[in-house]
Amino acid sequence: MTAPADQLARVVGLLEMNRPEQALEELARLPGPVATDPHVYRLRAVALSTLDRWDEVAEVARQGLAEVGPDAELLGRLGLALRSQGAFAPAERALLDALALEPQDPWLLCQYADLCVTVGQTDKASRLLARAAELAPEHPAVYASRIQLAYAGGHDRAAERVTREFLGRYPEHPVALALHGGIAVERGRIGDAHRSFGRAVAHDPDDPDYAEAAWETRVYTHPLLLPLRPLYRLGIRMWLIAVGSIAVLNLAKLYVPALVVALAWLLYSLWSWIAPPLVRRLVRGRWRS
Amino acid sequence: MADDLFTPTITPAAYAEGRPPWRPGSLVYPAVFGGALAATVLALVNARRLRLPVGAVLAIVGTGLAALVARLAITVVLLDGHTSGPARLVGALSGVLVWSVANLTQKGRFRTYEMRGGQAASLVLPGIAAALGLGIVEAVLIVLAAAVR
Repeated sequence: MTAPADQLARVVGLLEMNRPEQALEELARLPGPVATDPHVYRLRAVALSTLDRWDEVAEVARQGLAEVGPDAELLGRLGLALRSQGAFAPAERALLDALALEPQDPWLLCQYADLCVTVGQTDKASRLLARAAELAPEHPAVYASRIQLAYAGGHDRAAERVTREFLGRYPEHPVALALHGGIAVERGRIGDAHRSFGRAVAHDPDDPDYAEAAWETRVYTHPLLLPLRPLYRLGIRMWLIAVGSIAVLNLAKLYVPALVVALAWLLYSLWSWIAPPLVRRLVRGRWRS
Repeated sequence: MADDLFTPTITPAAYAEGRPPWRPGSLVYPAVFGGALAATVLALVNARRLRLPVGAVLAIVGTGLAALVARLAITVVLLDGHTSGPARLVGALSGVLVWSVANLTQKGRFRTYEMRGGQAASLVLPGIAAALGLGIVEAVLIVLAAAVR
């Protein structure tokens, strides 16, 4: 049985325009018998994944698999949903079943690599990713997984470099923008991060994670947290500068200036410790209402 | 399937979460204010929460011991056992040294913990308690070492 081609083409178009809610409405209008077409199950699972409605993704994927039999896309979506629910071993089972059907699918290889990163198996993730990159080096999932792998390994510079490559290739891709925002946060570039997350939300307003990240970076643009920008940017170097300055002043027997710098640094450190949760609490009701 | 990449390797025990860890970057605060002992103890507790491998735990223990011994030696030998002024600076530096190793070994594990949806535990109360309590212990050790000398 095949679904009406024009209706399905419309759904695909809506998903490409990042309108998953409308795609789901369109899918709901399909006549009963057509709704059990494998392609319809896949499209529904994709739309629900875009909305992060993981319980429903798992349900649709399972229904589809029961109805149409083994299907790589549905197994992959089931794996993604199970991973999001924290069921990592069943997620691995689903992804391996999918890869048994489509061992050369770069998206599936990347999903499995991401899962391995999530549970700390970075060596295996790296090998899976190398295979995916051989097959489709410019696939968005390959870029995203390379960034996640570098980030999980603490290789922030490499993660930033790949993020730039990703954004260069797909300047408006919400995942690229969100990952760029995440890396910018790690590098202490709050304004940059806030802009990236804002653009990610503009391109994908239904994703609650992007909205949360955009809100969180907005918190850090609050005037009370502006003095902390150098600390976020310089990190441990700022500490070394402060401690070094106090040491030099002490060695030069400039005890009063050393005491002033030490006290200022103490207050600054305490402020950096207590101010972010304080500001978060302060603006929570106001900015979210 | 013969490909070893497609052999299952994830078991529920590999990711079962216990008590939530602290953000490794935040350990710098009790490290600076409390010194090497506070930094080492908190880093070891966090290492356990993050299930760090033995090598990483030993690196923290080794750095912690070295930093504590260096701090005691410098304070007793070069600064005549005084615990104020430059001695506080030495204490802060020894804490930062331990923290840098802890941060290096724990950052990746903590990030994967966050990727699993985990939230960092608050370090405010344990941090203050460790900085004060273990900072005092460190000061007592200096006094004892100075007395022995």
